[in-house]
Amino acid sequence: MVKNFARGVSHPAFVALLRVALGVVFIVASLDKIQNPQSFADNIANYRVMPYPMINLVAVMLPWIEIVSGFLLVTGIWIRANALVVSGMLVVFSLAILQALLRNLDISCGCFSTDPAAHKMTRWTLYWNLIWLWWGISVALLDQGRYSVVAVLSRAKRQGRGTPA
Amino acid sequence: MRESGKIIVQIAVVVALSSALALVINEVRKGGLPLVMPFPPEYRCSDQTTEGLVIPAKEALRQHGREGTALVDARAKESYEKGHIKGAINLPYSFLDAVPQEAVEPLRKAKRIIVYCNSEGAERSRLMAGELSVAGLRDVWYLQGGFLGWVKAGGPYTGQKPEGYE
Repeated sequence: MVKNFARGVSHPAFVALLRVALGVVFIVASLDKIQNPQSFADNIANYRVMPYPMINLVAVMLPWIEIVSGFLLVTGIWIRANALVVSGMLVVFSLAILQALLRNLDISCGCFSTDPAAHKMTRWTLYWNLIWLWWGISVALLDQGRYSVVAVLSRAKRQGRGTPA
Repeated sequence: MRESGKIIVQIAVVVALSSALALVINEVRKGGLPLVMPFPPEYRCSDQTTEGLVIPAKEALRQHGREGTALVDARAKESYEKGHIKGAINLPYSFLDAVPQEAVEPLRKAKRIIVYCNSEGAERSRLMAGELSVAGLRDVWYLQGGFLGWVKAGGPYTGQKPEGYE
């Protein structure tokens, strides 16, 4: 049963589904931050862990790294590299959330919305981040790119020509 | 080894291109952020966005010594030790660390809290006043003109005169 579960989890189609979902999550998470960089800078400042001169720079750059790596994950380009970029960001987010929880900071997560009243941070915020992290690492380790846009298109092209895959 | 080298290069390309794109768009767009934040922002808590109210030095002088008025020096310990408003307690403002709860508790007895610093624009005391308000303290004010303004207005102090006083 465990073997069957492991086989199911590592099935290329399932892993591709995980990859696309992870990419979509990161694209969605970046949109509000890109639209409202000042609010996102406030969100970062609320964590009180980063020296303030660096906050704006991170608030400007981070959402674009999220959206680009999210888009590349969805399309299946440089899968392993982008899954590692996303996982790296999730490690940083998790540590930031953990320290905020340990210090009892009454702040919002800033994960999907920059509205300070949107998502009040709880332990579940951390759990969700760790789940996403596991998700990202799984994609990095297991996705061989069989269902990437490039692979699917080239298969379709080969089939159109009548050559065997 | 070859594969991991390739992945590192890909990661660098993704991060570099995304960052470059972000910087260009930030430069071009209306309302782009200055890349270096000039001063610590007021941090906002989920539903308690607030900040202290400004109090002029003359009004603060009237309040000084009255029962229930607490004075908080938000400057660094060294500045406080050099000289401070008579009767003030030292609670240095730090952008990275929240005010410790044990420092807030004694202030709960005060009816009115006046925070001061040394800066001309009183930024540090304004931030500290906001922070104390967020911590649940009421009637928190920050002193216009800081320690210098206080001494110029003839307020009592302990130790040296503030820098900039002639």
